[in-house]
Amino acid sequence: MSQSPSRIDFRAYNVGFGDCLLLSFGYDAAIDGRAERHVLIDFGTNKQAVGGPSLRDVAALIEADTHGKLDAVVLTHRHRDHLSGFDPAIGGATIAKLRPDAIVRPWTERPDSAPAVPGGHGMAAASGPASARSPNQQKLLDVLGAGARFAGELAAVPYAGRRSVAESSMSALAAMQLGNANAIAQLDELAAAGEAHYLKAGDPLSLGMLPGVSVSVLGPPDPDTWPAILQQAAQSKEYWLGAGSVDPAALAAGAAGSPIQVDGDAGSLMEPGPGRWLIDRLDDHLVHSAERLVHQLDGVLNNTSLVLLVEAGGHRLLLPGDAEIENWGYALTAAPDHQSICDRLRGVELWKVGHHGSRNATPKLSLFPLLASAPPNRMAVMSTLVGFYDKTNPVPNQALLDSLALPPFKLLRTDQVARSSGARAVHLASSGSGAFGPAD
Amino acid sequence: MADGAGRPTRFDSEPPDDRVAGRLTVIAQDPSVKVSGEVLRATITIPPERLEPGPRGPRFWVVDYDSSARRLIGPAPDPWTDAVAAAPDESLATDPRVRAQNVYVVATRTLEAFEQALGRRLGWGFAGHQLYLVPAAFAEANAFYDPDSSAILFGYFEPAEPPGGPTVYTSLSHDVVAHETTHAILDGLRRRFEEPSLPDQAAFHEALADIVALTSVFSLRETVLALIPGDPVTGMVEEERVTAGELARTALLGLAEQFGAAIRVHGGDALRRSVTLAANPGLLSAPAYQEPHARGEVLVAAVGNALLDIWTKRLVDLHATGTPLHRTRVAEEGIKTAVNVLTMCIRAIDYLPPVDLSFDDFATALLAADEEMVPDDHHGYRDTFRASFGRYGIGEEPPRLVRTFGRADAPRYRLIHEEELRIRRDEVFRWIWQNAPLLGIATDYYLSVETVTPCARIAPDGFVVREVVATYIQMLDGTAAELGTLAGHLGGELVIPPGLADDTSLELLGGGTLIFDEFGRLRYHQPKPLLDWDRQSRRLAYLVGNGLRDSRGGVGFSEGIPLGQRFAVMHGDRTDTRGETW
Repeated sequence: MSQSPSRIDFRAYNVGFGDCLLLSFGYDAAIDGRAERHVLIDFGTNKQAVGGPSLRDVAALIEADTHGKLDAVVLTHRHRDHLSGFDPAIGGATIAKLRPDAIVRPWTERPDSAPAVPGGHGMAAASGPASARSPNQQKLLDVLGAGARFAGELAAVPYAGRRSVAESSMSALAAMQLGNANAIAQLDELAAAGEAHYLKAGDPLSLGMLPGVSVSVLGPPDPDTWPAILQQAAQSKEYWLGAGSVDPAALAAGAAGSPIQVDGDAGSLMEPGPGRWLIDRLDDHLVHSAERLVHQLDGVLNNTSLVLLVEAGGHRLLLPGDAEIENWGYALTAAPDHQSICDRLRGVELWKVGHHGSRNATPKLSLFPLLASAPPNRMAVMSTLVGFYDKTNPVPNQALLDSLALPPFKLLRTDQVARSSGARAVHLASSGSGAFGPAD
Repeated sequence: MADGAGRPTRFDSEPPDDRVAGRLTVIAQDPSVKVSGEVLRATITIPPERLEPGPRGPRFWVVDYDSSARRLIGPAPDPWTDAVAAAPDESLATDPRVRAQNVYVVATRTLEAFEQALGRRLGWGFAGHQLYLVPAAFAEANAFYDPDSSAILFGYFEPAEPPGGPTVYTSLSHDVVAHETTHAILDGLRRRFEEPSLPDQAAFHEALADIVALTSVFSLRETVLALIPGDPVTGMVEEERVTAGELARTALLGLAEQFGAAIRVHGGDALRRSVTLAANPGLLSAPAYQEPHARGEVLVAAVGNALLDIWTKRLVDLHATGTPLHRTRVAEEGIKTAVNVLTMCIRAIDYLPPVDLSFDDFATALLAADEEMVPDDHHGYRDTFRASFGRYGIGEEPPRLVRTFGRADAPRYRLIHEEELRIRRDEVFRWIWQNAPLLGIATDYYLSVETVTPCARIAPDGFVVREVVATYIQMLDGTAAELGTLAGHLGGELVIPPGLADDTSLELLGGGTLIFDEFGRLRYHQPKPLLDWDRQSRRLAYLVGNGLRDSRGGVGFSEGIPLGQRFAVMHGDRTDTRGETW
């Protein structure tokens, strides 16, 4: 028996700077005793909105909105702002209570291959089917693993007393790269109890618990078929650690004010004077370099994002996680069916804007024009928080916001909906073949 | 001899023989470019000055501090001892004295090329006279000029290809050093090219740096000879191997070979090989060429192909069709051409406007400056340049350079003192004030003469050509609504980009460059009128469309990112995002 959903609800909870999306399908008649199905996509935050709900509050909202049963959970990628809520101590226990049948994650999250997090699963115990991984796949996993360790060491550098703005922003960004081990363990446990899917672009995904819903996986691309995904970061794990990178130990030593090693006769360079001035400045540069590297790591991790195109009841929804251009490039230009993908993207009615509206997660030349073509009243949903991320390239990006203020877009932001109406989520719905609009 | 602190006073580092120029060796391209299995080196002549350990001379100061390892390496005691010549190939990458000498000599040579072409000493874009060169500043695949630190910082990194290969030091790459030094020199010549503008301006910074890196390799005679195709034993080369297309593929026309291979951006080729960019007048309007590096490559391609055209045309006369050529003659013609091309490009800088530079301005300035200097162009350099620019869509507009000498409505000089006009900003302002209506300068708005620079050059006829280059700028601040209204009152239209709030603070920039001849008469005026609403609208659309705002959301003031970090971001190794970011 095939049945199509007759109503689709889309909620973006106001988690602050993070993502927590609930996609619900309603059916005219009950199937296996229920006339609704619910998919949770990501659940985390880096910073709660002032006056907004806590993640615990959001877990309770999810429980209420799903009427006690989740059918599937998607984790697009391993960033804290998409993941932290799954920690049992935060919202993970509630999610477990909702007994999701399927856990969908990118291929990089397969427990036997995923990069290690302190206390979590991963490379350290990579005794799994290593032979099943190609050298390119292994390379990316190595980079992710080394990058995570690098971020961990940076985040742990104590900046007692002399913490500059640059140091604290670098440190904070480093901390955001760290997967929450408890949250990952919780998802692993749920995956072990039900269906576990680890996906890359082009993989078929069959979710039997969602009748009449088709999900296409547009990303992340396999590094074998799309090595560009490897290029964004320097390709070796050495780049991130030890001699090939900013040495967190050097940062720590600098922060602690320990002396500089001098080889040979440095003349007057270590005494007060212009040479010493330069050396002090270069030490500051190290912090900025660390910050840039962490930005790169941020991009690499974003590019492991699942990009899902959901088609149900004649509607199309795009859920790109935080994918950046290196991830998108494959689906838009190189996948065997990229032309058909592009055609289908032109018809997307509801789109979650990638990466909270940052400058590099909505490819301006290759993706945006597709989304900007008809139909009118295209719903762009942005889960974001102003003033939190990256003072240099603020998120959300103003130029992107300016473009989304124009037709055919109708932009809805979690931070603004909450401010204007006190609502705890952007909530859109569509019945039958009708357009998406604010839910009743 | 000792100074007050008991430290020896260093008077002992004169070059070995002060009657001849100082000679020191450099790595000709980078350690990956080898001929007959040996790293190609070249000897460079630099001014025979007193140097202190570092090396440290009047313009550059090498400080070998590695902030990633927190390690400071003391310099060699005598900078005139040739460390690069003495080092075996295998220790080039590990010997700190090699990289210290390499950056010092290549940077000095690059500055010299500019000073020779412009006929004067050049200052930096920051206070102070010495630019720090830091040859192993941090462990990162990056090198950049940081005016806030008065420094060029060169990174080092472990290569991706080959895995486990030797550490790559960007300071050992001639192209990287020449490129970054050019950024620093250009910053000194045109400080306001760092102001937010249309994409041509930032692209020009990159393009000129690449052009200098490419052409200055040609000043190394033995390097050119080694890299010319053909048989080194017979000394001959077949004519089909020295066509423009073939020469474009040599190491001479690629940039940063080792860096490119190590981060593996183009299948192991040089970081950039702009000359092979297919000519197309529409390139500059394509979205992918709005990003400064990509856009800069278009200008490099136009100049590089002009160079190749002139070079190969000069080869035609050297042999009968179908017969081989002497490699030495091929190299010599290449050297002559490249030196002339580099000189033309550098001389053009004085004729550039101080703000809102476009590629068309550069093409116009290059042709005008060259005509002034070399009226008889029997090798057809200017025609070749004009054609090559045209093929890449540059300089198609009518020249905006105004030749005012000899016009009936010539400028007025009442109460102007020629001696003062040569050196004093206030006298140039007085002169502008008198002639503002003639020059079309709007005196209702902030107007300031920023530089007055006398310079002298030797023309091919043997006489000294003296000029004075003066630049002025204009500025106007207001909200989007106020400036839009003002434009309307003045009969123009400032197009406010959709979505830009009325109360957004904007800053408009204008200005111009004046060239006076040896009698103080105005010869050229290259204006960028403050009230050119078409340009201001395009600039505003570009800045808003690309999110280039200052930290308080204003448009046109600054890009909200410290200068050094901006250069660093521009020079990171992410290569596949052309035009895709907001």
